[in-house]
Amino acid sequence: MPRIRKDKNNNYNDKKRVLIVDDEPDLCTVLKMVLEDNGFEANSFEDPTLALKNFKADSYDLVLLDIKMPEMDGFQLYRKMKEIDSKVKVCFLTASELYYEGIRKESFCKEDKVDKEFFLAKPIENEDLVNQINKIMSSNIFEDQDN
Amino acid sequence: MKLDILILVIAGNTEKTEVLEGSDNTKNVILQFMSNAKIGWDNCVDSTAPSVIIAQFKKQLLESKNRGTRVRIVTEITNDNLSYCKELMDLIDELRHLDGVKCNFSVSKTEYVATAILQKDQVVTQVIYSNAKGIVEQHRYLFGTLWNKSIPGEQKIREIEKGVKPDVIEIIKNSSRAHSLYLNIIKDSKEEILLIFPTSNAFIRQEKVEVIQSLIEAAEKHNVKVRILMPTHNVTEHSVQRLKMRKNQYRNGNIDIRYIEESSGTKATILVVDRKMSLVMELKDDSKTTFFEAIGLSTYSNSRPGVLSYVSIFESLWRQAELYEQVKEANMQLELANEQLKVHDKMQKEFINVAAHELRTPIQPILSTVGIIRSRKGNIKGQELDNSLDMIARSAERLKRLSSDILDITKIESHSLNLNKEQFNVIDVISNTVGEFKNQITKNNLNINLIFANNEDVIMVEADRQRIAQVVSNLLTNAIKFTKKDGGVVSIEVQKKAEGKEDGNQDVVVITVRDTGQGIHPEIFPKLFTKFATKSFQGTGLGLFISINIVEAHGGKIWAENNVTADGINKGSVFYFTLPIINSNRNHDQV
Repeated sequence: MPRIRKDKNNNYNDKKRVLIVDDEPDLCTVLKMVLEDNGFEANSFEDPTLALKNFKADSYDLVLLDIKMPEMDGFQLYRKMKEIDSKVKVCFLTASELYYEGIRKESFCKEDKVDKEFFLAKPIENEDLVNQINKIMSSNIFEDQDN
Repeated sequence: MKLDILILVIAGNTEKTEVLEGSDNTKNVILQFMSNAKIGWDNCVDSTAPSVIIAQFKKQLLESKNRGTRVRIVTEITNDNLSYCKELMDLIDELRHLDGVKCNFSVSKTEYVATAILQKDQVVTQVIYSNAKGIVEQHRYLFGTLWNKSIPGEQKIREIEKGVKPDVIEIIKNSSRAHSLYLNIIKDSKEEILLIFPTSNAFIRQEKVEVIQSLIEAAEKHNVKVRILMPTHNVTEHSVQRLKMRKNQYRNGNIDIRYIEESSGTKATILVVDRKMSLVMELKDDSKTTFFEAIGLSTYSNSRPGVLSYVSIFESLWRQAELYEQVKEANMQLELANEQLKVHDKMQKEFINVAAHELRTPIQPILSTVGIIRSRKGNIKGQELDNSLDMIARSAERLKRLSSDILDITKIESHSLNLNKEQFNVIDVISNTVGEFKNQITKNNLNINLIFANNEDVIMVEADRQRIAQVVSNLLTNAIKFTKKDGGVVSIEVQKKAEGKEDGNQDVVVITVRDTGQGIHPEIFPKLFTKFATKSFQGTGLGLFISINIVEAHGGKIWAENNVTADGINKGSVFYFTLPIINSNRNHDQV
């Protein structure tokens, strides 16, 4: 079963779609700009609850998730989104020291296999961000897992 | 003379043993006995005898002495017969003492006289006389035995006169006797009781047989200093605490308790009273419930070296127990210090985490915007350019605020927050700050009505102008931050108020910042003015910590409450802070 999704026109050359969720409005704005400048189709939400409400299966190739957010943190949102779309790729982007360094050892990662996902540290250079996202897009870790 | 010959004849030929009655007869027999005994004779008599001998036979004894006849007496020297014994010692060869002598007989080489009835100073009314060889030898043997067990009369007289009790070490096999001795010794104590309980069971058993009660009486009624060493255990804790409470309750109560290890190997209750007596009761079976079943042999001693050895053992254990307590106390303090270090360490980590997040987050828009402008090679114009520049400016402003907050925290925590005090009108400072905020509200299109209500034009304070502006700014920032989501009113108010007269009648200005926002979260309320007290996901929780330190450094106060409107609905919060003011009226009076 192919895991790399095609868009509704079955066209591989179409723009990859990225959802950004970050409670900092400026970050949403600037990350969206960076991704759009680099050929992605990007959407952003400052409110994680609102992001979840609007999240539908097969609508994004990748979700770029902040972790420290009010009301619903990145991990909670991650779980809910995975329930809706188990194939969506998720990349955490965080400025937090504890989250970035310690998170892989936390129970959450073991239970939910978050270590199969990706972590990036804020602040990140535009070029690095784009490279990392491209790398994640082209990886097929889920197929590896099935084998 | 005739009688003398007769008796000699009898002695030479026949042995006789007879009982003689009547004072004349008895006296004659005794006098004859004395005069027959040319070399000497020995006497074993009870404590009444010395007075009878002095009264009846003083003259004869003196004559015997002058003749060189050797007379020895074993008797019990007591307080009552002391003077007679002393007199006797001058009349005879040797007088010795034996505790509790009860018999009354005299024996020479050939004759024996004895009496069963003796009364003080009275004549002897009945004697047994015998010259039978067997009887004489038997009593010579008996005398010898008693003589060897006795002690010199001079020693006993000295002891009585100096009130010295003889050194005794007694082994007590009967536990009832040990018990009564135990209580008596405690009752007779005058200065000090030292007591070691080997086990907590021993304490419980002895508590049941009135030992503890006796100790309390000794301590409280006779002001005896009681020290107890015992193992600590739950079952005895209640009694021990009661004893300790009595100590505080009664000024005379003087019972001190220290703990020793139960497994210290002590297998006896050791009691030392006044450093003169000891009673050691060996523990035979600790599983028994009564004192009488549990103890085995006991030894009583008033012998100085032995008693003092117990004292020294007690004192060593007492000091050891104190050291042990000190070590325990020191350990507890170390643990506490360690806990504090851990808390401090946790707070430091938390600070680093918060600071890292807050420092890194605003860098992202700067970094990304600069990257975009560069990659587009200047192809960015109009609104997009303005927005980008605003974003950079906002982020830089955030970093600037954060860096100065962190610097302030460092100053506060190293106690080097210096105030540049000057005299100024606090209304001006607030007015300027409010002006800046109004501009921001307009610029950011916030739905907030900021009101500055002041009844006075001039309220002079002596303070650090920038620091006061910082506090006002912090409070307004918070008020706006928690109100802007749904919009509302933020008001600031300035009022003069006379503080408590006991504070030297210092007037203060009260600055009140009120908002209609979401109010203070109940979780945050108790730690509102501490570091990192925030539920917000944007902010470090440093502002109020800095504010309280600034206000208190000026001698002011800061506090907060949730705002309750007339209809009882919790709406928003109110922050107050005060500053001492320069009372212009009073200044004029003084001038």
